[in-house]
Amino acid sequence: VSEDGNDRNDEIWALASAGMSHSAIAAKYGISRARVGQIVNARTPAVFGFTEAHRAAVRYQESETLKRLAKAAEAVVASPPPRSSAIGKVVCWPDGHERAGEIVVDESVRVAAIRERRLISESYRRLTGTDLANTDRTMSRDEAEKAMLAAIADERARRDKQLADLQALHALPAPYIHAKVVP
Amino acid sequence: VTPAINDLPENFERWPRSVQLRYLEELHAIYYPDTRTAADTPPAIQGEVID
Repeated sequence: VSEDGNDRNDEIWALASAGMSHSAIAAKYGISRARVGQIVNARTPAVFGFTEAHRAAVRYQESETLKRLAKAAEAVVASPPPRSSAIGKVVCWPDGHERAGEIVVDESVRVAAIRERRLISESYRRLTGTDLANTDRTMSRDEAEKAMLAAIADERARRDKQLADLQALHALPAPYIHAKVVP
Repeated sequence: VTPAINDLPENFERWPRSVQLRYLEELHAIYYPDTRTAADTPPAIQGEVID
């Protein structure tokens, strides 16, 4: 949504919802009919109740939340809490151990935080669609037009063959066929 | 004579929207030439074309 065109786009949306045709609106504002459709669609809730603007806002909020959570999880990975004994005392490495006297870190919490961090990354990728195999599957116009013309030629050949078959049937003497061939 | 509308050409979903629409128009023109009027072939859209 352009920052300068917001008022104009609101007017366009209002006119369209009041029943003015898209081509009339396009003529009024000097833009293409397709552009009017685009503007109206961006402001019209889909069947499930979200406009593109809503979705963009949700995407933004969610990505901010995920960033915050990721920082929290990374902090836990960097400095996990100490392990507590059954009676709530902090556990230290025993005498004779190479790290004797040092506080024992709770590795299970660190592992859980690493897993959370991984899940946050996954959510973020899903939110932004970076996990999709190929983001743009649209063919180039030239290639698509070539394929389209070939498909049309095939379709013409198919139609001609069907017509020829029908006419051959029609040429048979009665009572084999009475129907008139209508191309 | 019936169109093969159940099998669209391969990779049809990857064509740009305007090419898809033109294909469907051509298909209609092949099988239903008598039902078509001048309104069925609208003038090309001026300005930007959204695919």
